[in-house]
Amino acid sequence: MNTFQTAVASDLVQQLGWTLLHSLWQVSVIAVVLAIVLQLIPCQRSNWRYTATCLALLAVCVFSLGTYAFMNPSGAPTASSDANSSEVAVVDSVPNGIRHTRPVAPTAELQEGNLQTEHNPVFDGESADAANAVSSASSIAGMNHGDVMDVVMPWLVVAWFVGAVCIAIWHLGGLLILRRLCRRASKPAEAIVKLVHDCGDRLEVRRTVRVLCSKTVSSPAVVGIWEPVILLPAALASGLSTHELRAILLHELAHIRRHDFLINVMQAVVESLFFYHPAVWWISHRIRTERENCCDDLACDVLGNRFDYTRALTSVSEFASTQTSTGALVAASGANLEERINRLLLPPRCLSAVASSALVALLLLLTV
Amino acid sequence: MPRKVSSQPNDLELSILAVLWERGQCSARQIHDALSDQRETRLSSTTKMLQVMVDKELIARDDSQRPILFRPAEAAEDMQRGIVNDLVQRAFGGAAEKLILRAVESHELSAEKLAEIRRFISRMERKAK
Repeated sequence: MNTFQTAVASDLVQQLGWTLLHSLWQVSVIAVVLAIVLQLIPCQRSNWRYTATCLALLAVCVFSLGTYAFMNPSGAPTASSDANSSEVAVVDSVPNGIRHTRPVAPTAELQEGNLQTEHNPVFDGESADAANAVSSASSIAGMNHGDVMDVVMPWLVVAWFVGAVCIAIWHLGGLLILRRLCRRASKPAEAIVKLVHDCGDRLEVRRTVRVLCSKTVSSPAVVGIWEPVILLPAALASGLSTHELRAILLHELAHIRRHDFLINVMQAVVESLFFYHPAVWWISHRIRTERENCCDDLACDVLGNRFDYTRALTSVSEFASTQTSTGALVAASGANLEERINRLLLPPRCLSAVASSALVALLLLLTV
Repeated sequence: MPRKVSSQPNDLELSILAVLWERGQCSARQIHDALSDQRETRLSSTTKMLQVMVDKELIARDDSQRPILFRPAEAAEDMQRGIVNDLVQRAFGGAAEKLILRAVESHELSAEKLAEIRRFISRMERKAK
């Protein structure tokens, strides 16, 4: 049982290790493709850009999952001696699709989506031979990786695991800080609560939204996965006109309607898993930028007037910049004010026909 | 009001606070005598440190009698909790900032920049009309 466990552990380690190594080039390719795609989509189409960046992050996960599932134990050198005795044949290699098993209980050797263990005996002797040939061929190939990988892989996987856990804890700590922020916040004036509900109706937000006033935030913000909360700086209501307040509340409610906080948390999960690749952080950052643009567009549409909206944004930024001295949450996590206003008010920059066709050609070249 | 990071007590200030938490109110000389067991220092530097701590609102000064007495501004538990909170904020604040969805960023915007932006908006509005 002990040797079986170590065999399983080393296979898992090898698969994880190779998945991690493959992810290095996969993520790079995805990032390059995304960069090209973002050049092609005009900046006014914020929803398309947001969808493209989210798909890119999703692709990162899917690729790695696929790589992990695609690996079978005989692809790894340490499993080469165990492959013949414990490998279960891959379903796809059996021509008539009948599943069959080996006597050794290989529950731990299961490859996701590829294999099934059943208690039916072997139906087809030919398929068993074919499976044998496949496994021995690949185990011979696996032996070429050499002992270096045997030694390096466990350390690689351990290092990745430790890093992922640390980043995950970091994110969890951030969530706890936000929860504490909400607990310390106070109830706002009735008029503001009413305004929030009015705006919510106009945006067709179906969920119950709480509004709280906080001394620690410098700008209106949204937190909460299941029970969304709008946090307003305590002094903001007195610093803005009702119309400006409405504009900014529409932006926050747009976040709530689009479930942006949940998606942000999922981004944090991906960032924890793929923390080692800088392109993942870049893609995640772009999602946040495009998200703000999407909410700007949504709020502008409902408000009806871009100029009033941008003036409200400017007033809130002015208010926020006066608050930074109190040590409130300060950080840049998205596009800055000027970029957002330029995007909303300036006519779209058009790529010249030559440049865009050149980019399309390049993209096609890459995919072929 | 949460204490600013820069006004958290340093090591020496913490030793002085420990003396005060243990003994309640003390004069500068009493504090200095308690400290001289741990470190070599002159009374003048201790007095200067005490004044700095009064300015940072870590301790309070009672001038109503001679000798002048000092007492801690906060109870030990409160200050320790404040220190822990600050550490937590520093460690995880970056994560909180990434997760929260803010309407605008808190960049320092100069008055000229804001005026320029407002002029730009008005200009674009006039063009649109």
